[in-house]
Amino acid sequence: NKLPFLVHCVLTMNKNVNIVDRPLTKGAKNEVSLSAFSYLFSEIVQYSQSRINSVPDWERRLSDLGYSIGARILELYSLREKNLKRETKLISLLSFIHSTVWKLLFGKQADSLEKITEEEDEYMIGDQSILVNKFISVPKDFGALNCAAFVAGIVEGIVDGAEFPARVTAHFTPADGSQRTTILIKFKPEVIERDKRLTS
Amino acid sequence: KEKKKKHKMIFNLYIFNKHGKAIYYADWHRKKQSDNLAEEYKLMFGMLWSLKNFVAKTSPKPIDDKTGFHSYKTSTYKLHFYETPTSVKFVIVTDPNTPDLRDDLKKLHRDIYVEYAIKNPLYKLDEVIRCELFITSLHKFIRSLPSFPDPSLLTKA
Repeated sequence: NKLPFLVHCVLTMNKNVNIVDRPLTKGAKNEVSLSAFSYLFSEIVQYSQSRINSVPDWERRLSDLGYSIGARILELYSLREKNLKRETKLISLLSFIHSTVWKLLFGKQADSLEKITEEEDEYMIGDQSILVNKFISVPKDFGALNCAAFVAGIVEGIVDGAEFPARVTAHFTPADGSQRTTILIKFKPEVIERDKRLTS
Repeated sequence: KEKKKKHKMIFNLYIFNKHGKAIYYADWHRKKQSDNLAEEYKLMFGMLWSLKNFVAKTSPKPIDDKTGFHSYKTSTYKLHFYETPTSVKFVIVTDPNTPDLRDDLKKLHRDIYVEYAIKNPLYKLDEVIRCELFITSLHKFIRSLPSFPDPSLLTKA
């Protein structure tokens, strides 16, 4: 499946050297034009559409694509930003995703990081206008499709790789006029258990 | 004696795809409603097509994008036309005194059509545009044009 690799190439674009030979820490400032990414992402969404039968399947496909990117991002950004220091606490991992990862992927930090008070294993990262959805309007007949499932996949790849397994999904939540995108992270029970022991 | 105020008006907007199908239509201050919009689209496209060819054939100089048909004016309205290199046609009808809106049509194509329709994976190309983001930003853009009438002036009968 060449698609995740292609997306990763676009995210860390280079000009002359083979991408796997370039030094990892150099070129951290490379940016890709928003138009180029939007067309690529648009094609990814349409490509997935031709291979599914239902909207949840579609979101899962986008999520799977994001997953392999997330796994690589964890390694790359840990190396570049934090000199390979591993996160062992849940809250610092979430903070890493909310600030560093969002900043490196989208150019700005996520708008909010919240814990759902009724459930002890659910956290939400909110973004008022998530970049991947910038040019996308979902028609009514596609139901609850949120193309930010791709970003949810990226987050899932990161948390799984960091040994905090979780199920991550993207949702629209209405917020003063427009639609806000929330990435909902539901951690497995053993993660919460372990974190309680570590932080007590 | 009070000078008669010139009323600015934008009546309606059509977007045609390269096959001649009307993929978007909107109107704002149209006083005479058409009884058959589908007929009107066909008439409009046919007229534009003929006019474009006529202008090209009778031109004393060779024709290119910039020298082709741009607009026509009658006593009651002015029609502005812009065709993209991909044969998408943008047509806007305004009052006769409006300055040329061709640049605004280009902006509409570049910043609204390309962004919210073409980059939207859920919009099928050459179909009628129903994308929410496209529609809201198009209306916002048209309302922001200097040729769009001030709402307070419209309350006068």
